[in-house]
Amino acid sequence: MTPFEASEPAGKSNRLLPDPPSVTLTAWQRQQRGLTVSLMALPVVAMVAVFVMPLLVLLWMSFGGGGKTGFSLQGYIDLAQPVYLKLLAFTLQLALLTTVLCALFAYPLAYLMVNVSSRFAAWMGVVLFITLWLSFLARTFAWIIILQRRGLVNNFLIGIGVIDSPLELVYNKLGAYIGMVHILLPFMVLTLIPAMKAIDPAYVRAGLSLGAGPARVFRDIYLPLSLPGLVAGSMLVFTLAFGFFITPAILGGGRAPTIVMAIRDQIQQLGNLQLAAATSMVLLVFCLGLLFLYDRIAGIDRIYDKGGK
Amino acid sequence: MKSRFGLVALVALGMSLPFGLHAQDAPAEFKGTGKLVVNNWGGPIVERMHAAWYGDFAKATGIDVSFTSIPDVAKLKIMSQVGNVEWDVVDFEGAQMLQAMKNDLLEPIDYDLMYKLVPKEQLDPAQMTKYGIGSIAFGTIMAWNTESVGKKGPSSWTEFFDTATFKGRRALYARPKPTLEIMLMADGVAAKDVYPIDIDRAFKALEKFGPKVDLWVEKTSQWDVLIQNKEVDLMGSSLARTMAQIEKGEPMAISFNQSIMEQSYWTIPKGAPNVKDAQKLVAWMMRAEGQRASLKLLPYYSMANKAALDGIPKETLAKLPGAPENSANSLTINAGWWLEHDAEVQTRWLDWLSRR
Repeated sequence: MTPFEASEPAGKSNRLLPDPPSVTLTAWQRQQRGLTVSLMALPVVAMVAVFVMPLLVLLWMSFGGGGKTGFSLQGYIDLAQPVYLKLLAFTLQLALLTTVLCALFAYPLAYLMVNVSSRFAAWMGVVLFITLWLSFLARTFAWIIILQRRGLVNNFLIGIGVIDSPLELVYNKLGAYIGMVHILLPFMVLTLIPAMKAIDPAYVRAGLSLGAGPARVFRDIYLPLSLPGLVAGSMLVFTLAFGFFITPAILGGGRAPTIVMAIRDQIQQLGNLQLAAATSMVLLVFCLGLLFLYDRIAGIDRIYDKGGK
Repeated sequence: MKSRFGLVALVALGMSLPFGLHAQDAPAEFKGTGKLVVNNWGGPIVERMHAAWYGDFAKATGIDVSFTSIPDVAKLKIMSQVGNVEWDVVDFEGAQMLQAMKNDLLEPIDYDLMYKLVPKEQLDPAQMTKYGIGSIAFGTIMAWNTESVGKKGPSSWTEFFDTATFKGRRALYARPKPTLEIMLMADGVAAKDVYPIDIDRAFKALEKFGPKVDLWVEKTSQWDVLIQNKEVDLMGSSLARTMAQIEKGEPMAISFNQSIMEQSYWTIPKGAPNVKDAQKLVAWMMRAEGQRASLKLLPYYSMANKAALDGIPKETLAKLPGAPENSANSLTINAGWWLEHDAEVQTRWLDWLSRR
């Protein structure tokens, strides 16, 4: 995404590029500059071809480009129907709550992985990675086996006599949340770990030795230092959750319709690419808006900071 | 290579048939050297079925066939816009075919070529259109768990929603098609009077019957899981999926009354890399032998060649949706109606879904 590039602080001198020459470039400086330009060429071309171009095409399509009717705002006008606003509102709620839940679960998990013995942490990492490798669909169906009326959880609870009739754990909003949080949790944990690893334990020790209680040390030292990881993880999880489709569709049992389902229907059922493109652009604007908000609150360039600075 | 397996299955079947299949006997105009990419609905079952269906096409004609999935009009439209169509033959649902036709994406079927291989009188005229010929018709039927609901289940959609007589949890597809048709029939409309759909009446019926549905199903593959785990007791499910589960021993029963059939078509995209050979394959697939072989493997669909039903044992015939007694009171999806009203219905459907 482009905002990441834009957020590179302008004032800092880039180490790859030499400072502006006062007199003439030395041979070495010229060589270095040539190398930088040639090394940068490929990533720039790739960025444009893979990210910028499709985005521009989508923008063009959302105004009727490539269609029969020519330039129009029809895609956006159609989107103003209450049903799309409702779907958008629910999708936002789903994505935000999923992000918060992921943060709550991932934080202690990441803390544990950073602070326990490295062998145990490696094991936890393996488990986390394995879940990432399995397909979404397989994991979604696995949750059905666990949560359904005759699933593992209900059978166990009925077996030990806690409940008489099965709990409705899946095919509703609860099921959708469980599936989403499970699938997106590793992304949050994996972005939190490097941020926490970079925190110098000396700060924590210093805080403690100066008389602050553990709660205060956590609140005033550890949490602020780990914030960049939390911000990056939240943005990643939110963006993924916002575009999530198959898991809420299956585990929601028709009770968690998201805006992405509408986009799917617009493309596959109705062949209305303009409406689908317009919907996607609106989603993009929402994500950018959130990014802006994060920037105001936490500062996006902190994502690139190492914690503990 | 699933097609290999299919070939083996076909050879075995061929030997058991009175009129065996003769390999290497394709007429001269069916010979070729090219490669074909067939876009079907994917999955091991579908590929096995298709492999049986194509039979020894590759061997007899010298034309290679490979599979891809899933048929998608929007994708075809974009491929055609950039001048790079990748599919030679596509198995489109009726409404998809009409949508593709509206966008001028299809090549007319070469019926003259087909008649050189398949007698015209064997083919069902109802499944022959200018731009596509019937591939399969797939069904949505009433099914129920015989242990929880009982041997006798609902025999109409009105009874299906009779929660006093038939106790249990219900599931339907989370899609307006064929849910609107089901709602109208539940509301007392006869199968033959469903079209043109009275959209207001259908949604009114949905307000009434919709809340009795405990679970809306997104993907066809979910039926397997739902049936095996007895998550629901009554369902408007996929005929093929349900029958496959019954064959595996699940205590399920179905009714063909007011069943809903949707016709799919073999089509050839305009600008396909190998239109000429694609015509040959489509013609080849209309042969009774291939369709019969594929029906024996998966006897849950309806086929374009009526002669495919010849020589099929009675007990198998009783399971086929295309058998006369089963299709007597069934409803065929009107793809033309859906093409015209899809946008309006889709918006109202999403609106209804998001209010819950």
